[in-house]
Amino acid sequence: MLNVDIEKRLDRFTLKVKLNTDNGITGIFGASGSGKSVTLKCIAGIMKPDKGIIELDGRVLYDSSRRINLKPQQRKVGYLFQSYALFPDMTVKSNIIAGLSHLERSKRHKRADELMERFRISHLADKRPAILSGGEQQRAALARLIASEPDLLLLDEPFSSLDTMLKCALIPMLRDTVSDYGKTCIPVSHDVGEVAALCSDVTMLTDGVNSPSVGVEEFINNINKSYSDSGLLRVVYNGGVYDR
Amino acid sequence: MDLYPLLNSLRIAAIASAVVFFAGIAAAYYIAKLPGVIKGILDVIFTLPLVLPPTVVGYLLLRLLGPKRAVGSFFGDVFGIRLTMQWWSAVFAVIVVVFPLMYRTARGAFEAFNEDIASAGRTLGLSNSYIFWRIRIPACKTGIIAGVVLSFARALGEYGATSMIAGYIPGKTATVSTAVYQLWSTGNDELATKWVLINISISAVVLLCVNLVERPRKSRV
Repeated sequence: MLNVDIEKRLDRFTLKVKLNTDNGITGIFGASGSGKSVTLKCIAGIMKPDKGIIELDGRVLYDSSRRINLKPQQRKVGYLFQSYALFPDMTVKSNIIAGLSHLERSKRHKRADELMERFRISHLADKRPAILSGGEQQRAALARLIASEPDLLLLDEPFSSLDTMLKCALIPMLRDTVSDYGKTCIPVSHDVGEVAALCSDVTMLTDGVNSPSVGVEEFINNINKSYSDSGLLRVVYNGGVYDR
Repeated sequence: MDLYPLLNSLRIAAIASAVVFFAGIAAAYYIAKLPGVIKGILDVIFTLPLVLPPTVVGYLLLRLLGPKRAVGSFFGDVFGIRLTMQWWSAVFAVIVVVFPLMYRTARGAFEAFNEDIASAGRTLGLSNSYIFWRIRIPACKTGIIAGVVLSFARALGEYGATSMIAGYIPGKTATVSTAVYQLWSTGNDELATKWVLINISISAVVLLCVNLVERPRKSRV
């Protein structure tokens, strides 16, 4: 259970995000520059809001009125970066082991091997991130993310650096990974298809202000309507490509 | 041929590069976190020795470290040490002149670093010191090594500030660059030429090292 109510002044507008989600996948949909990444970074503790409150499963991560602002290290919030942000000078396996600092040293190798098996990257264990393909990097970053056993998963444009064919294959995988993991997940995207295929609920962010979240069907209908009004009907049907 | 100037130059350059290595990295890392105005002022101060004539640096150092000046007289009275005209006096001069090279290359390397990678480390629960030493420094190591090698090369060739603060005492403060000037001015062209050639070859080798380090690593598997 995640409860967010924050404000932060940005260059072009003031970010005002209110979000209340149960376990499930609630997507934030919005154009680039609408404040999606800033929102995620505030939740993860990488950026600091001006005021407000962030609670996760009853734990207070940030509360301006009580001057609480937990460090990212203390939040147990996992973040999948758009660029995947793998550690460039470590092998894939070392990257995953870096996410296992909560485990005893002796157990880390075994756990890393299990995770690489599960994300089908065992054959890349000794490779460095730079030589991996986009899809492989994403799986390695996901394995590292799951390794750290966060209470919340934040996915920042998880597919933006992948080509369409790869996206079709990876969206179901990501959806399964996240639902197996069973914790709250917030993906952000500017792509209707991705959001439609991945999320159970969607909130729309426009110039820093988000709409109340709605079920994905309603979201698609709304989008469909605005698209057909503008004569762009087919684009939304492409949502079907993403296995939904 | 007395090789003292070479050995002296090498040890001065080595000590100065070591100091500048840590100081330059620290300055480059912490300055990025400062608010705009202070950052701008410090950046100018840190970079200034790069464009100032070394004689100006030498003059300022003498005003500070000279036997009758604030710091110099303190060391003289309390420890009985004279800070100028020692072989290691040149280290002060070289550090100041070379610092901007290390500082700027390290800063360039840090600025090119994708900050998301450090943020990823923090969300994964890794400590800030682990992120700095195990992730940030390795990722920036090409720039940092290039910076320190370049600093070493420049340190070997420092003349202006060195000659003012350490002078030229054969077998004591003589360096390759001050020896060349001394030999030329006393008409000993033959020996001066030898030192010039030694100086050119060492600098060329060092710059070759910079190029090898900076060459993009293609097949790192």
